[in-house]
Amino acid sequence: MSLRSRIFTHAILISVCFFMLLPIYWVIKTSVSGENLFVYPPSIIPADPNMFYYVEAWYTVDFVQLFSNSFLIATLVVIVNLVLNAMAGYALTKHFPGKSLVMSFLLMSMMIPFHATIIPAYLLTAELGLLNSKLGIALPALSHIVCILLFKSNFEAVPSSLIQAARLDGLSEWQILTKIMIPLSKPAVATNIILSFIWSWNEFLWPLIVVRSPDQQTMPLGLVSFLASFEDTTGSLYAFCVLVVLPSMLVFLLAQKDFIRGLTSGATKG
Amino acid sequence: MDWKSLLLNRFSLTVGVLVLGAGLWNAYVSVNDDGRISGRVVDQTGQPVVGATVALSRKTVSSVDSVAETQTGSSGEFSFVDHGQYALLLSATKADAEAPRRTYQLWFRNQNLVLDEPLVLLP
Repeated sequence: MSLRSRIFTHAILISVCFFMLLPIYWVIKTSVSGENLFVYPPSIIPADPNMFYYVEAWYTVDFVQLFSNSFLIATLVVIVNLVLNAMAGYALTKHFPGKSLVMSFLLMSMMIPFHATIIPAYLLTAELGLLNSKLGIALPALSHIVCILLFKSNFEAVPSSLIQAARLDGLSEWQILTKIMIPLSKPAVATNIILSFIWSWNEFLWPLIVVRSPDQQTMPLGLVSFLASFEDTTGSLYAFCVLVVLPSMLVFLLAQKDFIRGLTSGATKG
Repeated sequence: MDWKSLLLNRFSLTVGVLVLGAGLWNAYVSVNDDGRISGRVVDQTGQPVVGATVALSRKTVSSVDSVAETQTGSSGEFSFVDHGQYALLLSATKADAEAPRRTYQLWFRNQNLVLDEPLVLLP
């Protein structure tokens, strides 16, 4: 690539980054300045920035309760996703009668939006007696088909000679999965953790439907109750928004290298 | 995997720093959350005002509510204990003189506060 085309590419990438990061910057700026969004002309640099809006957001809603609920649910979702998706992904690397049917079923299921299945999901959760509970909130997110397919493609990239050698050494299927496949598929594990954590953390509609009491509310629901309680709270509202997205951004930033590798490795090796 | 690589990776370090920061912050809060407010009321010439009424109000997102009142002592000093607020307003009055209401935004609820500048009564 010539110098000119490299500069051109970078200029485009920088301008795209600018437009993508501008809203995030604006949220952070408003959270420390409390400036009204509709002020004209808009100020790029916050005037008299302070952290008081974070203090106000912290005390206006029961932040610790909301955070711990979201964190417990997200942790449960991540752990169960890892176990179930790895097992399902490994099973799908095997040849068995009806495998293509199972694959077709999984792919077809991906085409159906969650909103279309929300009533059966609600009825099922109610039958299980899990409404208004953390397990009930986590239930539909305990396995994601995308992550199953991700594990499958990563497991298929592991040389079959390695698996055969392990089998000759007397390892069971479970041991092959836990001692060989998963350690060799760290990018898939990282991708699984990030996706399931972020999806669970940001989930709004399902918790809104199954949660009745405030002590079971998650962070996105807290944001709504924050909005419903007070109207003129620009700074505190934006501070709360930052606090809501901060954990998922942190998880993503920590594991982004493996995340990108996880999304691309199956495509290049398979 | 040895303990060094287990502890010295970006995940453990980030969680460790967050836990340490939260621990230090909580320790600081527990030492400074007696809710003591102390300050002075003076007149325009800087002389302490005895017997002025100092009002402590609470500032919430939507309202301002009165919390407590006290009188200044012989050297114009006043204090409140256990105010229980994270945003508060202080004002002082005596006869026809009044100190403009001053807002204090605190870092945490019931934070101790020593007023840097006295409340000045204006006629």
